[in-house]
Amino acid sequence: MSRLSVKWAAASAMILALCAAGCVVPGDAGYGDVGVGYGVNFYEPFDNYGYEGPGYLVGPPRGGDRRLPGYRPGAHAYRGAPAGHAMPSIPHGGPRDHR
Amino acid sequence: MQIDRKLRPSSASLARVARRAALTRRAALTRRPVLTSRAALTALTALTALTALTVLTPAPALAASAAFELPPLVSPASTEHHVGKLVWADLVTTDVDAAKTFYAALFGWTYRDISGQKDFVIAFVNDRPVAGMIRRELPKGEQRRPAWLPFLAVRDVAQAAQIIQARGGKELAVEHNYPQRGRQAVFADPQGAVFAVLASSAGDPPDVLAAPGEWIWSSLMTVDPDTDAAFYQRVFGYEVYDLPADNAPGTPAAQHLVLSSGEYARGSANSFPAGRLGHPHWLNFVRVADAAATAAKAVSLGGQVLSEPHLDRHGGRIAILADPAGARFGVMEWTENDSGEAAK
Repeated sequence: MSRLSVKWAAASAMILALCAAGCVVPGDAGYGDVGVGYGVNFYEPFDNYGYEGPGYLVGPPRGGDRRLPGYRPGAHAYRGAPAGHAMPSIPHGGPRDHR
Repeated sequence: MQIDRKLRPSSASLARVARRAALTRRAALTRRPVLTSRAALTALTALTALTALTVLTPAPALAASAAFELPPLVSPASTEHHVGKLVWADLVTTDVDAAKTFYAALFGWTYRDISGQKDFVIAFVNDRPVAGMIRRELPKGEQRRPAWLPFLAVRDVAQAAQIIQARGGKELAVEHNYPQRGRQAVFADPQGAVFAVLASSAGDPPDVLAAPGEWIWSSLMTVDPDTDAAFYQRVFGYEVYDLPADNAPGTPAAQHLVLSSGEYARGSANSFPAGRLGHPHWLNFVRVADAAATAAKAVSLGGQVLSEPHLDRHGGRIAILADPAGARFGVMEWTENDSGEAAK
């Protein structure tokens, strides 16, 4: 084994070690310290939308509501639920406390 | 004697022998470093292999070996899965301690630290984990604010990622596996609303009425509910119900779509009120016993009321609030009687 080979091996090991140091975040668990790629862009863009006004009616239906008489799904990008399906509500009942 | 004379080495042959011995010693001396360098090479090879292994080992495997552990979503584990359900939310904020104080006073949340993570805590309601709070620096030079990130249940994150990206969504954080928790990833929908998907390894929370302090509803505010509903329908298999618009006379019709799965409404997709466009986003609601009292308390704790408590179309009273750092969330009163299904 020539000294040249030894030098090459050492150099390649050093390069790999440097690569590892660059690629792996110490102590990272996905959320990283805190968050590898997590939430980096998640802070919301600021806007002045303030939900004011009577149009903000976004809550769940009570369930069992039928569509308006003569309702027919229109032309939409989504596939509308069949007209005969009653509109569902959110889950109810169950064993949870603090009802 | 002649024989002895013949056997006696000449001075020339003695010199040859001496030269050979010297050469042998020199060779031995030069071989020794070679042997040493072989040992060094063996060590270097091992180091190289170890380094390569470190580089090639996927991040989740490294994560698994770390002390970082999120609590399971459901304990004891169940086999229930409710695709499309809001099962978790993370708050990304600048001051976790302030957030802890605010939400503890507002909802009675308690907290547990995550081992080895000083900037990450888990919020609990009745010993059930409901949310994470993560401290991060605000991006410099950008006008941004803290926000709650909703996690919607899926069975297969990779499959969801494929659909999301094929339909114009963007992957913001690649999928990761967390011990006890499952696999999750963060995305933006085609219009920019950010959400996460989670394939819980312990099952999803059961489909029962949320307890006060738990997430109960999520609404998407968007520029185009129609195409967004189609997007989420492809990802989560939602049934989509359109509700009659409640727009004031003379104003453009607002669109309200209900997204349901497993025979329950999971969320809604809504257009911004006319003339008040914002950036598309999900707004998550916590169930409370009294929306008005909660809103007043939020203000006393340094928060804001963005939309005064009011009756929603079907009877639930809601209010939209912001915590002291500006993160927006909703609160909603909801009783068993508000679910029409319960009365059946």
